[in-house]
Amino acid sequence: MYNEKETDLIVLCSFGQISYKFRYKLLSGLESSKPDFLKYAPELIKSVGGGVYNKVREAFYSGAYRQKVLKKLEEKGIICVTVFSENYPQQLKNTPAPPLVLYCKGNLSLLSSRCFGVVGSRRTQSNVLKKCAEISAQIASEFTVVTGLADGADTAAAEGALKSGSLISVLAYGFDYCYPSCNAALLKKIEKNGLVITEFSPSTAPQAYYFPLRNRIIAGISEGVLVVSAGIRSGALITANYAMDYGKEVFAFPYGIGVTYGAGCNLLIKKGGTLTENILDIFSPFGLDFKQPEKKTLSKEESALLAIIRGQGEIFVAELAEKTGKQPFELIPALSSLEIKGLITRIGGNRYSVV
Amino acid sequence: MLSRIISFALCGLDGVPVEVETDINRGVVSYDLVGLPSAAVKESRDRIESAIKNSALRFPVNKITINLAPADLKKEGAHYDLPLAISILKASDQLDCDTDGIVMLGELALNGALRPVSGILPVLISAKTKGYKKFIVPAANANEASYLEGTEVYALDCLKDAVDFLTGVKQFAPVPHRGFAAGKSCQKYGCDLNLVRGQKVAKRALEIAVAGGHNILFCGPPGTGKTLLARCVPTIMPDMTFDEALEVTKIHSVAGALSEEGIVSLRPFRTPHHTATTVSLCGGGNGKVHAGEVSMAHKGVLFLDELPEYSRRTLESLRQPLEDRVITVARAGGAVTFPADFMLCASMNPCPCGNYGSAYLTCSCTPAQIHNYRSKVSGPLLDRIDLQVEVDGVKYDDLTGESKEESSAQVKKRVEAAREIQRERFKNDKVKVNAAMGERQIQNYCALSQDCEQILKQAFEALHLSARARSRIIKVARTIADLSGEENILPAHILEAASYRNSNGVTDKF
Repeated sequence: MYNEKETDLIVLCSFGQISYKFRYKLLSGLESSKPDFLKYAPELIKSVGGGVYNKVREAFYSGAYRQKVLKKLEEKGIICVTVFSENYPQQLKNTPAPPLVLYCKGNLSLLSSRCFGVVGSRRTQSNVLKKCAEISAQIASEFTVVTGLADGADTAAAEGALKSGSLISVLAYGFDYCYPSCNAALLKKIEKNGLVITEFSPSTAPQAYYFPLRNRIIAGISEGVLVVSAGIRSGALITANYAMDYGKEVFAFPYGIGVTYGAGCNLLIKKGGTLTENILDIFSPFGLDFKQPEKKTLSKEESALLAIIRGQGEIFVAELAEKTGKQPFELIPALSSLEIKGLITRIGGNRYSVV
Repeated sequence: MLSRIISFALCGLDGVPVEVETDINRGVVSYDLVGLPSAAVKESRDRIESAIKNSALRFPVNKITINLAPADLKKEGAHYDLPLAISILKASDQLDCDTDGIVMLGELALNGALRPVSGILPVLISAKTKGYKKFIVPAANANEASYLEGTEVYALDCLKDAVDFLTGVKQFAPVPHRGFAAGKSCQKYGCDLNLVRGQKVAKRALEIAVAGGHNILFCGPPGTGKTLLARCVPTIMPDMTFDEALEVTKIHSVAGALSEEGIVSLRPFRTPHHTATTVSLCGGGNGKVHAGEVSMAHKGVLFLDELPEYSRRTLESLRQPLEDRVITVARAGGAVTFPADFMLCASMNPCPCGNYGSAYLTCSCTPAQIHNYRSKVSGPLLDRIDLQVEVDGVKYDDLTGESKEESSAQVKKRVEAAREIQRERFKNDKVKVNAAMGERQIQNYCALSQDCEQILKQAFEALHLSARARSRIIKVARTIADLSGEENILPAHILEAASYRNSNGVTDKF
């Protein structure tokens, strides 16, 4: 199933004790697939200890160990795509630190499609989440959406793109884990309809410092990255910075003054990111066009309400009632109808906001 | 000589006749009380002895044997003092009279006075159905006894009066029967809807909930008036009928929680603290099975403040009484069934920090935290709460504004009109309110037009509703239609009903 070069990499990556940096070094910068243990022996022994060094060296050339590693991966339904494989994403290969092995579950053909990253903060307001889901669905018409599996914006992006199946979710841990656990069902769905990839071997537990490493894959594999929300210290900014370093387009939703979970987005726009309000802002730099779906028909009352909500961005039902001179419960049917049509959403405390 | 007096034991809310048999013989001085008496009954000997002596009568110095029959039923409570004393007096030839068919209940003080006991009303009701007409009870229980028609109840002050009454030395008039007047005035409840400023959406939901007998959950930041809104629920519920009041009084009487008035005329409002145990909520206990909060809230409101703070096990125990409207507490000693037909009203914060949805404060919780917080309340329980409403984060202007708010009395009128429609609709059914409708009734009474079906379908797709939400929405829509006096459910009703669900993006899907 795997050729010898691929097998070499898979076996090398099964040694959790050796860091990415060392693996890269051992392969002399991806020149060959056989690690040069002898040349780096002193350094390696200093880093992992003599016992581990000997074990690793022995295991690498042991046929039984190779069989075991491959069999375990097969049992778990994981397919590996190595940097020497034909279907390894070209965009990712061109980055300074490409993952040696991508552990994959799902539709592998997505790896060779055009990819686009959609990322954001876990703390994202619900109207932005709706917008994020909507725009990911639209992006999925031309690209494969690439995102993480965190709650908040990542989940919204995944939900949006999942319908078409053009979705790659990049994990920051091995396939034996799921974080956050409330997304376990979503993960299963993506494995079935889309593709889940990770550079970490199955038994790697999530660690805080793995997430920035993961972010380089999202940025690397994508032709552009959209940041839907980001605080000033958000992980989404790390992804965006990688993307800028790799020379990819960065897009960001604009936010008002003093909105904490949007400050990072505004910073990106200042640094040269593209201010994004709709799908055309994303597609036009790539020379793509998007056919807007037909406008939904609204009743007179609905369009009047929508106009008021648009004017203010977000509004309490009670406030809306005051403006229209009606009782709140008389407005609720129209508001519900607008919500069902996906034009407004509730953001808690009986407030409505435009999507 | 042998004597036989009738008293009653309580099994849950049912009275069981107990015969007090006393036999006095010559022999070694002794006092034997048999028939599974509890500690309170065993201790009665000292009270009875003093009471008899202090009533200028003689306590026999012989071999006294007393049997409480049926022998296998546990006898609890201090109300056997009076029958025991009378029975001893009769057996020792100090009382020559006919005591057949007279039920006696009462605790004795050392000076011979009769102290009030709990559970008089349920005993009276079951005794009446078993054919007993004449009763002797403590004077302090007179009010409670006066509401039952067709009985002859003598409320006496002391043991001496009881002896004089039985021998005919003194004449006493039976307690006069009193008519029942429900707590009409909303003011009696001590709060009113017009005290709640703003919160129009929540008030409307409250009106719908009470009109259709639905359970309701308020979700909102701290300090926005959730508790005050809940306290107003009894003020807009229809007045209690006499039968309802009797049922409620029975439970409160057994629990010894009756007020001076002697009957519960206001709808109960119970707020158990969130440290409440399953037993305190559902009923149970060692020996005598006590009614739990769900039964104390019978025909009224059970308010659970800060719902996710209750232990999960306790909350899950509410599912069965919410469905069946009664609770059966099974213990090794036997099972007791208490009524538990209450309206559940609950409140919770939207997230652990409490600020989610507030227009002024920022919420610092991640969706996973919010998800975890909300999943403390299980889905099956939420499925039984038809209306899940968000409470506005109130602005300062709303609190001080001079806007005219509707009073509870005005809302109550509309609620009663809607209840009247339901009474007419369900006159041949077992259910009484829209909330209690099963699938069959929904099919019969909630015919949906093509438009409504269409909207319902769209709502499901757009709002990610669970399949179980469907019947909930239809039931609430039926109540909204009743409130507006419409015969059929209109699309607007479906849309409004769909808005009363626990939503706001976070719980929906993301």
